[in-house]
Amino acid sequence: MPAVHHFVRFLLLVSLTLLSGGARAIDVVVVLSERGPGYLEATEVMVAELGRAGLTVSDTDVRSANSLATALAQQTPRVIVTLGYESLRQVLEARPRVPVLAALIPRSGFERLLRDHASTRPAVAALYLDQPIGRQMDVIRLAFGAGHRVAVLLGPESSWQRSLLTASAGAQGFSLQLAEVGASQTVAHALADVLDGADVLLALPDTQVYNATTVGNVLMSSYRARVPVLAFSPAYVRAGATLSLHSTPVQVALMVRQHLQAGAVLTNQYPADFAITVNERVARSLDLDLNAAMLTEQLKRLARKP
Amino acid sequence: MLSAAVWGWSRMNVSRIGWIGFVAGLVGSVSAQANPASALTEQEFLGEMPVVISVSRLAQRLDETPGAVTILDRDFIRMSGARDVADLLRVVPGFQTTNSFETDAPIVTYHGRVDDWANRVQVMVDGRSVYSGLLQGSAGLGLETLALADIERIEVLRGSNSAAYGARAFLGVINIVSRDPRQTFGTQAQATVGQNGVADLGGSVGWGEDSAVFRVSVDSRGDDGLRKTGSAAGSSGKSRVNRANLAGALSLGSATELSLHAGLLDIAAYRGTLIGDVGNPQRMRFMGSGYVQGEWARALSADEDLKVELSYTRIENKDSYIYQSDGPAPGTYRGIRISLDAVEQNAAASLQYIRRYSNDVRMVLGTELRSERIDSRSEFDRAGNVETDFTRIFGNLEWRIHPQWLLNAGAMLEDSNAVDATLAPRWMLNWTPLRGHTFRAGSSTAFRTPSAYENFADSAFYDINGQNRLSAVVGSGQLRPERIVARELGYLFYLAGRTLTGDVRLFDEHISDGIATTASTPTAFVNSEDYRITGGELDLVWRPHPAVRVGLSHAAAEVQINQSPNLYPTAFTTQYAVPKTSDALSLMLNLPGGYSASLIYSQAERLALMSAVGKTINIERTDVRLAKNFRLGKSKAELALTVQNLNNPYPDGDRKFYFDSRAMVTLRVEN
Repeated sequence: MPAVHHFVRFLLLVSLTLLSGGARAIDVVVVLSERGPGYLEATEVMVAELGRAGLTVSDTDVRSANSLATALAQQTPRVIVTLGYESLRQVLEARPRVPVLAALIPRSGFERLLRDHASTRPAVAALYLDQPIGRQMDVIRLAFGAGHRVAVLLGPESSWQRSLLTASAGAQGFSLQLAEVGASQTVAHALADVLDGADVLLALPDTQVYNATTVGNVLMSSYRARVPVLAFSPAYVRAGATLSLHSTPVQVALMVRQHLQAGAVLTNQYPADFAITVNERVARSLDLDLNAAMLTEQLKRLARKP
Repeated sequence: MLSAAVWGWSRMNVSRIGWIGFVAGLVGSVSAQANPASALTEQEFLGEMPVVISVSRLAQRLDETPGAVTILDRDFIRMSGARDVADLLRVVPGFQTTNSFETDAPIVTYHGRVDDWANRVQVMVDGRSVYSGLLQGSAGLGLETLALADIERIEVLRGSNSAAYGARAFLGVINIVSRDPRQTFGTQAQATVGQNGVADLGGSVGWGEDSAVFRVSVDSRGDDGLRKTGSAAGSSGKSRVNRANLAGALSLGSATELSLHAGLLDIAAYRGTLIGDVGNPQRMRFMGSGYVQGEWARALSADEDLKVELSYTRIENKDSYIYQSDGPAPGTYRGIRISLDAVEQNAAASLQYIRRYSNDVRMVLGTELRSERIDSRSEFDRAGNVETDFTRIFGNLEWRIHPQWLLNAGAMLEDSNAVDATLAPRWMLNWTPLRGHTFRAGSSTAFRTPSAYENFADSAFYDINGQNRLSAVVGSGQLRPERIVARELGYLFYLAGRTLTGDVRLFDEHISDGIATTASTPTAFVNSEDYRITGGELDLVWRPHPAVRVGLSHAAAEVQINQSPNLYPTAFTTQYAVPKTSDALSLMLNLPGGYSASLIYSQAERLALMSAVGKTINIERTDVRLAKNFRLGKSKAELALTVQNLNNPYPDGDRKFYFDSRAMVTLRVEN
């Protein structure tokens, strides 16, 4: 959306101009992995929201090592917010002396970077982009009812969640149909195994399992087997998944602002705010009566419970 | 309830120390648990994906379907114990079926006409129309295309619907959908042995990567056929069907899919009588077909699809015998070889464009070019072959006028070099005043173009010296298409939390210009039939528990002949080919311990076979099946005992052929 891009660039230009002439230190530097729509959307909201809170915000991206190094050298922020995996990686490489809040990053990617930079890393915490397993099981129960058979495909990037899945499914009264994708088993084989008799397919992000090559097979096979898919991004819903549970870039930006403003001591966190989208045509065709707004509200009510 | 442990984070309400104070808590309490093998980035969450479930791939809900539909799924097919598609369809309200390979292949009809050439129902196998012009438009051979183990489901649309399913959907549509190769990896095998010489063996193997998946299936099924009585007593009814099928599903990149199907079918069956019938002696007859088809589908957007289908089918009939009588003077016909050999080739190409203009309006536009060529000296003596080319244009609009009202309206224009162009319109209005209660009303006009044999038959024999031509069947070349005007009212309901679903269909079908044979010699085909079928059908499925399925169907019909019965000799069979009432009850149970049990009862009352002029019969049949699932090494296995027809033997397809009770055992293994 060019209009948004221009607006964001305008905002950034204004803030940089002010910074260059101002006497005041920069409070926050936002580092973007790239200037795609999601990153810009998050940045736009963060700049506006933090600005309203009286904080000065600057941004840069990691398209060239120069821009990041320059930005960090010229400015002495009190905190760096990274948006995305690559921005965190490069910030960690730069060994900043200020704390880092990593956002728009999935948990396994974040943990991989921490391990790779274990000896040199600054103080860093993450606001994960992925959703906790328990919340995903809650969506399944709210959308489809109790006592279901939940199919899950695990790959190298998601297999660490196996025990969480088992515990969470057990707590909800679901039975799990798990299959691992790897060197000995393709997605197609594993999918055929787990879909047999399943009531819902829970898609967990894993590049080995869910990618542009496999999406056709995953969504077509599930649909033909009349197994609804709970996905992790609205793109999958547009492609044909029945529904998704995810946090939008705007929600991520607002959560970052809340964290920075609240002054709370922060651990790594899953997102407190989230959205559900439903492919109404697919749901209708599967004879499912799903209302995204109602499901979101019910899920948020559950999340508020102690 | 969300547990903090599962969420993996905790809220630490530390006193306000300024927003920079968050640094103090920078220890990931959950990080110690994780051990990802590689990095997952935000791209998986933010990236776009090609549209997969586009507008044409969305299946219609039953309450939005413009007509009555009965669906027989894979579990039902397996638990029925049936060995042929035709036999399975006896549970569908309004259907009559045969098991006879002695005449043709087993056939199915809807609302009557239980003859050798049931030709008023469209049969589609994975979207390919499988009727045979050589077999007078019959789909009997086409119904044998797939082994039951390869079928995902059978959708039966009861009621005329040429606008959406082509010219052959005169009275109804049988849509056979094969199993998606993406769901049949690995190997599967099954064998059946039993009484009456039942010996079936089959298997399949599926393989492939994510973007290209294939399955090859091979099977052979055979038995000793029906018991022969009267002049056919002692004749053999042995038959064997051999099949090989290939299915492929290929992803061709962004939102483009290619489906491939190919297969070979060969049926060898005894026909004729051992003694007494010089014009129909016992011999082995071969029918076979081979086909290849491809469907290329591309989602132009979530709301716009383009589909191209190409198919080629070759059908062959090999049937010859030595004539054992002198025949009429002056020629000598004893000893001549009568050959019914023929080859049919059908090629079809279709293009479909599907577009959704809004949530309320969806449209399909399409065209089909089809060429049918039959080469047969025995059927087209002087011409040697007949070629018929069809051009079809069709369209259908689905318009949700109001949240409660859905209109489907469409039409098909068909032109051919055989008959004048016809326009078949259809509309159906679905009204859902309450969730779970849908009422339908609609009407349809459809035409069945006469098959090449009906229109251009030129069947003749020559004496032993190749002289003295004797004409047996002559087509006028002037036949008009059969015409039907059908009106229907329907009510679809879901009750008791959707555990009980039912459909009621009331119909009024007026057939005119119906094609029938004359009693004269040589035999001719004429547009002589004019009659009306009225009645009602009920189709109920009750699932009180996930392990229990109860099905009940009932049909009642009356035929009113609008023309003097004396004008055509088939008036009696037309009158009574639709049973006065017919019922089917099915009960299927999945029991603890891996056991399953099923029972199917069916009956038809006051039914005339084509061979039994002046007499009607009642048919009753009960099948039972008991099965046990178990592990065989690492494989899943099932052992089943099926007994077909616990009731008295009944005439099947012909008054001389009886379906006796038969028991069989099936072992199925898959891994």
